Formats: sequence, structure tokens, C-alpha cells
Amino acid sequence: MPPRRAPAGILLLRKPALALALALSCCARRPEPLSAPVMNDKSVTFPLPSAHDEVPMGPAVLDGEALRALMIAADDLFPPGLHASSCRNRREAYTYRVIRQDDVLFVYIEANPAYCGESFPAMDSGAKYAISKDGRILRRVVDGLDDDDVIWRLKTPDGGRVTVITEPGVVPDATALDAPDSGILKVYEEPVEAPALDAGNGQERRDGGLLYD
Amino acid sequence: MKNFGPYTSYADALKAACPLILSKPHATVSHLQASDLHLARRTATEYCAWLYYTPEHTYEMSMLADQSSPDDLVTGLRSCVLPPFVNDPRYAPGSLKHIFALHNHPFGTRLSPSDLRFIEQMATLHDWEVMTRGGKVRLSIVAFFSKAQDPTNPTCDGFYQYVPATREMTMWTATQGQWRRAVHGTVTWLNERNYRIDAP
Repeated sequence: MPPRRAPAGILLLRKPALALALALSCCARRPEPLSAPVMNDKSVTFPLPSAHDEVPMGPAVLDGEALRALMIAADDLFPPGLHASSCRNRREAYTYRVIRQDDVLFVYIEANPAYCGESFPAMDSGAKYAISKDGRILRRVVDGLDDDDVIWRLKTPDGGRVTVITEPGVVPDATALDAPDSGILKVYEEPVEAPALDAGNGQERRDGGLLYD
Repeated sequence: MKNFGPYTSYADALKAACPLILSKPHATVSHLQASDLHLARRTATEYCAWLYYTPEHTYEMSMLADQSSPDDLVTGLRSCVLPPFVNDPRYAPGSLKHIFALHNHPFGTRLSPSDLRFIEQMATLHDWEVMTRGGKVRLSIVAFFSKAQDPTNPTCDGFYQYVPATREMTMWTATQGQWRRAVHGTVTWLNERNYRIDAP
């Protein structure tokens, strides 16, 4: 029995399909980190931390918008399909935290050196994203690459204190908070206190590493 | 590190380390920021090293660490992994004093929260202050920057510095060989990811 042949018509269809597949494969671009579009909306500021942000570890419940925001940020920083041979370059070696404020989801990505059996984080090993609830990246700040807004505490002329957020590169002047070119993005009249986690004196800081007022 | 020093003053060592680190490939991308931000982000590379004090009362710089291997391009982060201890076989283990954790910021940005976390962690291993022939020198982290638009001549235009012992954040700028110091304030952590600068 002669070998079965496909009808000529199918062959005609297959050849262009194969050529197209080859063409696509040779031109397919490797996914690149930080390639997602960013609106760079400077009016969006990352929120000041509050005690409510610190949620004890327990069952994690995420709504769909929060999950999508996490996935957008993780895919942008660690594109799927790229194999990292080094442990610290894998997305599993980071912690992810999402905070919702109004219609914006803020995603914080930090190194988790313990995952790779290490004791210390690398320099410039974190990033944060502000993502709208419909999935657009409003702002992205990657450590060492992007200038971030700065949180300041200032003494006011009347002896009080005020917390402000400024644009990058601005050293604020407490006597000109309302000046149009002050570079101040937000003013918090009531001083924002650090969480009540006093680490005490400097000697104790040696052990904890973190500093608190 | 070969071809570096040794120096008898930390200021001279810092002034020598700055242009050396910034001259490494893609250590500064200021010239690309306006024309091709995508390329600038893709090529930007951080280098890091320890500046340390030896039993011979000199300042030396360790080998540079960087992240320029292909594997490092699988993430958008441009971290620099600096080993906590310098291994200099000329000196007995434990005899070296780690002074400055040096690195560059290719876009000239200020110190990041993870930079501060790193040096705070190093402050649990190393002395906060080292007594040298020239006086006390405090452990700190430094991020060099250049604003040069000519990539073949990356000038050292300054650096940000944070000192864990005093929590002081400063910016040093160099103009025509003159160095100027601006104290921005002291750092207070608001949580593990955010810090505030308390202005003087």
C-alpha cells in the first residue's frame, strides 16, 4: 500500500504556516524586565506607613484587583519565561506586599535573603509600584534606578513640626511650604509618628538593625 | 585592589574611588536619560566595593562586585551584592576595618531604603567607628554619581552618604575640584521599607 499523502491543499496551507512560525520564532523578542508601560504620574505619591499596614501573618485573602496588581508588578520586574540561574534573581526570593488606598494599589517588593540561605540583602534590591485598579502602572520606583519622593519632618517657624513629601532632589524649606515652586507634594500638619516600636539606645540598634524614634 | 592606592587618608581614597568606579562600563547613564531611557535602564550597571583600613594604617579598596552577567538581566533590579567581609591575604583575618561600603547609582539617585538596610545590617558585624591615625572614621554607605553627558569622561560629581552611628544623611558635591557637604538630616525608619529624613 503506498504511503498516505496529505492532500495537496493541506500542504499548501502548511508551508506558509511553517514559514510564518519560523519567521515569528526568529523574530520573537525575549521578554524584557521593566518593559510594561508606565504612566509616570507624579501626582500619585506612595502613602505614609501606618500601623494598619502591618498585618500579622495568617490566611491571606486577596481580591482580584489586588492579585492582578501583584502579578503586573512581579511580571514587570521578573518577566515570566526568563530563567534565572541565580537564586536571588528569582521572584520567589522576594516578599510582596500590597496596600490599597482609594483606587490605587501600592505594591512593595523587597529582597528576602533568607529564601536563598543568605543573611544580608543586596544594595538596591527593592522596588515599588502604584497600580490603578484597572491595571495601569501609575508609578514605578526601582531602587538605584528611579528617583523617589522623599518624606521629611520639618520644624516650623512656630516651633511645631510638620511632615511633608517632596519631589526628588528637593530639600524643603519649612518657611515656604505653600510656595508654588517648593517641590512639596503633600503636607501632613499633624506629625506622623513612627510605630511604637522603640528600639531604645544605639547599642540595641546593633542587634536589631532597624532604627525607630 | 590592584592599581588603587594605598592611601593614608580616607578622603583621598574616596576621591580616587569615585572616578574609578564611575569609569566602569555603564556605571553612569546620565547621557542616555533624555535620548533613550529604555537603553539607559537596560544597560545601567552597579558596582560595589569596600574601602577598608589596614593594620599598616592605609586605606585600600576591595575588588569590585557587579551584576553584569547575563543572568542578572532577567530582573529589572540592578542590585549589587557586596560580601560582608573583605578577604585580603596580606593581612590576618579580622585585622581589617571595614569603613565605607561604596557603590554607584547610574542615574544619580539618592540612597535607597535597601541601601540603608544593607549598611544597618553591616553595622551589626563591623565597628560603627574605627580609630585611625587620622582620628575616628565612621562606618557608612556611599553612592557615587556622575552627571556627565560624555560617557567617555564620566566625571565624579558627588555622592550620597549615610552613617548608621549618627543616622545622618548627607550629600557631597564636587564642583571644579571643590567639595561641598550638605547635611540633609537624620534618618528615622517608619517601617522596614520607608524612612523619613528629620531636617536639622
